[in-house]
Amino acid sequence: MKKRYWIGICVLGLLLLSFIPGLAPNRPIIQLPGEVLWNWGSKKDFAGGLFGKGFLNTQLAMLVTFVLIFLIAFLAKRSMPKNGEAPQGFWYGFFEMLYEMMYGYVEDAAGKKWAPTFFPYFMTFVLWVVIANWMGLIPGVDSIGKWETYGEYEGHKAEDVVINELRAENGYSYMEAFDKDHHVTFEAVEADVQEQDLGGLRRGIFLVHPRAADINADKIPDPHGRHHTYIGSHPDSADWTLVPYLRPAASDINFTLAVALISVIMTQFYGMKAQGMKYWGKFFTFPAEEISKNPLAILNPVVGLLEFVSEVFKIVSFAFRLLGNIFAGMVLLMVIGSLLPAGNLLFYFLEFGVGALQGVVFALLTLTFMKGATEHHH
Amino acid sequence: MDVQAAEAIAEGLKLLGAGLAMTGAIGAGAGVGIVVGGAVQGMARNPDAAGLVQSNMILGVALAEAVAIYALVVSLILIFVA
Repeated sequence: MKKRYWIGICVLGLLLLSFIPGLAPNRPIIQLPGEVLWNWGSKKDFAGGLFGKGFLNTQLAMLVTFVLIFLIAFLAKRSMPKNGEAPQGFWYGFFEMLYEMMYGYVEDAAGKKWAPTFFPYFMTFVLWVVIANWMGLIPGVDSIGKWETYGEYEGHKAEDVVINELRAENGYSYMEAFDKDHHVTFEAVEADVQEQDLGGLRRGIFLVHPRAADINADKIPDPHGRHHTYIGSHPDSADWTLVPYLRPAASDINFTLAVALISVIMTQFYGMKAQGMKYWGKFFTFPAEEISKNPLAILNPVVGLLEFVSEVFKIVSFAFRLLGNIFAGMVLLMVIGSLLPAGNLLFYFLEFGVGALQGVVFALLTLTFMKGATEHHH
Repeated sequence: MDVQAAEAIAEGLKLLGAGLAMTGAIGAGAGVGIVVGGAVQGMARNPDAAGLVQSNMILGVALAEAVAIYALVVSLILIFVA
């Protein structure tokens, strides 16, 4: 039979296979911040919580993006012809075409004078954001990871008792609860275990009370400790979930906020460079002499303030547009992948298009705002 | 009302809020339709400018869709974070 019949049969076979419930992948527990891969190590927050709880998988994905971009730059440098030789080869042609297209567009939009200044930002945003988005589609990203219990232990805690670890020993579950002065151990009582089956992940609720030995040895401070009960998760029915090693970098608000801040702050910088301090006259005006000519000019300060608020909103807009598109795409792929794996193909195409489009739109909007900031007003 | 019932009600209300937050996507649908309608009319009047019109249309679609994405982010925050 012809090759395309085999391809058709394979696709159809995979589609039918994906209807079998046991073969579909489990949906991991999805959370908006990046998942921690390696804790920083100390129990207290490192540097006042500035660096979070550990190294995130989105940060690792951003580093991998940098490595990929360096690879591209290295390839571009290597494909440059030596002196006197004619340019040839695939990579040279590819980079020349890319560069010409982008530089031509920037020159059309911004004019010859400012094109060399704006072009690095345009090209950087295109390359960086598009590669960061497309990296989420490589097989292995978002699917290869480590298998661990769902990190947080959310229990109802007494005020000055901090619940720290959960260990399973001899059939009992011990919890180490620290308060300000005492190191106290609590023992779990099986009593009220309710298990909900969330697609293979179990979450049990149980009650704990202080161990009798500790009460007697006066290790538990009054007035909270002695008769208090805590509600928490059963360690045996812990939530096991897959924490991927790599996750699309733009699905983290830190990444998108960083890129948005770069874009907007450099826009203001170039506006000031082009027009000096009169750039701020766009926002904060005092129309003393214009009111005589045109009474409606008294609204100019209000309009200026609105423009300023609009500039600040640009940061929010950039950050949330990119975050929403990529995070929603990631959630969509995970959910549809767990329901009907073969149907994931359509959403792959969607994610491909959306990733490229959002990167290009980011760069285009940055270019437009920079051009708007540098041109002279009436 | 015990703690677990209250927690269940709170969780249900969060999800209800997440569903209601997506009513912001109505405006995006209308907006994208208007943008593309204007672009198609422009291309019909002047087929030579089709490339120019198309690239501006893509920009307009991404901007109009961004408002629906803001609503989606609010909805996702309600489901996954709060």
